[in-house]
Amino acid sequence: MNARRRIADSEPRLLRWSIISLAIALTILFIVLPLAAVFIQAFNKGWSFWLAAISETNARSAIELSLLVTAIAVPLNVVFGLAAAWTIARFRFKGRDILLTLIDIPFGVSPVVSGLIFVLVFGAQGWLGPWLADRDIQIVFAVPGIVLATVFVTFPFVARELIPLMQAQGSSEEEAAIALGATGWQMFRRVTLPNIKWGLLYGVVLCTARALGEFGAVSVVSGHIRGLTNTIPLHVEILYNEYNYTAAFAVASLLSVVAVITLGLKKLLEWKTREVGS
Amino acid sequence: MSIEVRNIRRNFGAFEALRDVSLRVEDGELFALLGPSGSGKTSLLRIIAGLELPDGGTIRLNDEDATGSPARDRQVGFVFQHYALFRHMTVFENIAFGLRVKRSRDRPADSVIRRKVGDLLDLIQLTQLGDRYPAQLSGGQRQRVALARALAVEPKVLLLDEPFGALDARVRKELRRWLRRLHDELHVASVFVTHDREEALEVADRVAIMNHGRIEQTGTPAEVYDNPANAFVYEFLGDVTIFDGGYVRPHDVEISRRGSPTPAAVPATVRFIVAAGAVVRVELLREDTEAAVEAEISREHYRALALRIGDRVDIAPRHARIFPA
Repeated sequence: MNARRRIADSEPRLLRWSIISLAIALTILFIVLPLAAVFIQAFNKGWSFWLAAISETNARSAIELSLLVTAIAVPLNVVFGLAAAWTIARFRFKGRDILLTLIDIPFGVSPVVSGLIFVLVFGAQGWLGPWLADRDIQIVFAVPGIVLATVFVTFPFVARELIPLMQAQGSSEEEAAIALGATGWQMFRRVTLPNIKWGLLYGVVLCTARALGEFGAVSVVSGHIRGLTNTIPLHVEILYNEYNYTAAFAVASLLSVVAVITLGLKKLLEWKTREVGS
Repeated sequence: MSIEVRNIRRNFGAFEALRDVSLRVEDGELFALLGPSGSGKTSLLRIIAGLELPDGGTIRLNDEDATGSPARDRQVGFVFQHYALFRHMTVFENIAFGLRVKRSRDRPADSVIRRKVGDLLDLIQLTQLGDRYPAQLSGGQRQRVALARALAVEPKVLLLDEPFGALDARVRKELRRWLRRLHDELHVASVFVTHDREEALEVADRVAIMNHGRIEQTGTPAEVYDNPANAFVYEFLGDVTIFDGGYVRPHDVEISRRGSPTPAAVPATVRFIVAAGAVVRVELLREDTEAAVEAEISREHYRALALRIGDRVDIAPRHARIFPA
């Protein structure tokens, strides 16, 4: 009996180990090595060069612009995401499925196409181009366009995170709060928000990471004006295209650090949501 | 405070959840809405609370129209089927919630809140558990916390949705006696929803039996049990067996040995006997119509007859009820 079991187990064990080894090898090859390479390249001319590369005027304005865009896009998407998740999780209405699909569009569409849409609508030759030009408002090839593109691309993160969470939790606690005399705002602040806070933070972390790192859509609407409309990823591309590898990697290392922090926070929040969500 | 429901209608798409429902619950009364699932009883309760709006009809609380007034202004205590305790708050904070969200001019001082919640914790016999979270409590404890939370705001009306539905049989019996006593101390109008006829008949002062969005009958437990308005009520309030087109309770089926002088007796065969319990349940098969008949007889009678499976006996209904179709 015992011997037979060992035989029955031995084949899957071999298979299991080869699959695990393959997975580890691929992870090292495609994720750990490139990440290490970024840091090795970034520091191969030493600390001072790295520091100079990220504090040079154009780099600094790129960092500032990325932070500005993120600081606008993330709060907006928190509000949109909460509103959308609330609507979808709490109400049954016609068009609910359509709304759910619409929220996913930014995930499905290539970021470059998203960027082109904004050029088509707001660009000089676009639908609203003449109207905007009359009023001296520039959206495309300026900061507003970059913000719009970033908001669009990062729209699903918060909503997508909250919808299943709010659906699973149901609305009875909220109804209990109302029946006990709470106003809508008291209900939201004292009952809804504490119940979804970890999920919301999780969405915010993903949204922030994407907002800082977005390349495609921003690239189309930015116009690549140095010191004015370059974000961190666009600046990295410019440096790279100019064969300024070490500087490119130095700036890229900032984004990599963001990625690593995101990963850590993501794990922590996943653990928190699971702990509270049940 | 009295509750009056007048001609309430509620549709969910093409489904009519409530069709022209009217009832009145007097101050101090404990009222049960009894019916099978999907009969509209929970919808009616939610409409009284203001958690849902009716498509037609009016709700009057204390003889004032409350149909359009928001839930939070109705001074209604609502106990949810699965308690809906705030999972991130302690038991203490759950109970204190209704007091803490009051408008600042009505909000009691912190010391008052603390004393009041303490009293309620005593009342529900959970004095020591104020610091626990809902997840750390048993079902019966959660139920009592939900009730204390609803009572903290001193509601004029107490509404309970399947209050004992999720509890095991022993805790259920205990809690429903406790609820009955509590209700008598509080002097509120209470309405509870249940699908359990025993619960409704044992606890409530009056009962409304609902079916397909309508009230079939309203009355005291004795009234509805003894004088059911129609076949549905009769069937819903107890086991029935059909006897020549009439409805008969199993305890009204008489069993005697073959050749008895009872005039209406018909021959039947014993198919199955359940002898565990206060009464003995006997399943029989009529020999003339091959219809199944269920009977309940006392243990003494059972012993006197010395029934066995396969015995051929005579059966006769003591009272049969005929309801117009």
